[in-house]
Amino acid sequence: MKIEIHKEAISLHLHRSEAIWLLNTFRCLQQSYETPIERLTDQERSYWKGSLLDPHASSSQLKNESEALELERLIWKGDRLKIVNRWLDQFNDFNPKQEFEFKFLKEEADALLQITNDRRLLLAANHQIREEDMHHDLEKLHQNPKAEALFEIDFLAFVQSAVIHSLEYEPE
Amino acid sequence: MHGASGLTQPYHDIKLLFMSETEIYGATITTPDLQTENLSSFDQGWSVLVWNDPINLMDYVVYVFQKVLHMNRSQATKHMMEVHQQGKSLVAHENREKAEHLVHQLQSYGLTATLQGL
Repeated sequence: MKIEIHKEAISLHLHRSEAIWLLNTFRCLQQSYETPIERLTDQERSYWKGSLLDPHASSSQLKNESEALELERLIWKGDRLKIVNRWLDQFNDFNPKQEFEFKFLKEEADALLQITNDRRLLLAANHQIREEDMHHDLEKLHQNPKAEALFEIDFLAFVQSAVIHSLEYEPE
Repeated sequence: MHGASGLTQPYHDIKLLFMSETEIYGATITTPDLQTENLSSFDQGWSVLVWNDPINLMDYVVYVFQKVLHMNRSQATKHMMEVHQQGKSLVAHENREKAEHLVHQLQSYGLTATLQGL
């Protein structure tokens, strides 16, 4: 992946396989964002519900505030669906045999970070990925859904790091 | 950010607590409104905690602390390391409404942030 920093936008020049990963990420998120919360997996439902208080606090504390957080998290879900749909439009002309340029406005950088982080956290929740799994040797992993999840989590970490560092530079 | 928190003012008056080994000292950017506000003790004692998790990147957490809590890079890195090594970090101490708003913002980036009354 190469990054091109414009005055108001950032381009990710992706190799074919990277573009396929990012397309898959956006498609999976699109599906997750548009699925009503009651039809999500238990792990995903729990993720979108969130928690205002730590697990040791009484559940009766701040009931209204906890419900407000839950509502707000559902609003993020809807907002992020609109953004992902727009970004997926960029892939309409995607040719899997060629490199691909994914371009977003700098003002959308935080949305990209939040959205890619949703995917990382949802993958971790769905595959019950723990601390020890994150210290894996990717080359030694066998082909299975958990290994694929770890690959995607790593790839999106790479994208996040690149975006964060690119925000520190101003083009001349 | 959309929200149910009801906070409509730009958030320039964050009061952060930075903990050293033996003392707690505050670095406060205070607006006149906050100085004259007559807050009850209930409203004053709410902490924002960020908890460790295995997924979020260190660089990402530093970025979010800078963005949401307006920490400088050094402060943000210190709190990130506290989360990483001690399992949690107290990143802000505010009245309930503002602490709640910060928890919402931190969670919007996927950080495990919670509210704790003192």
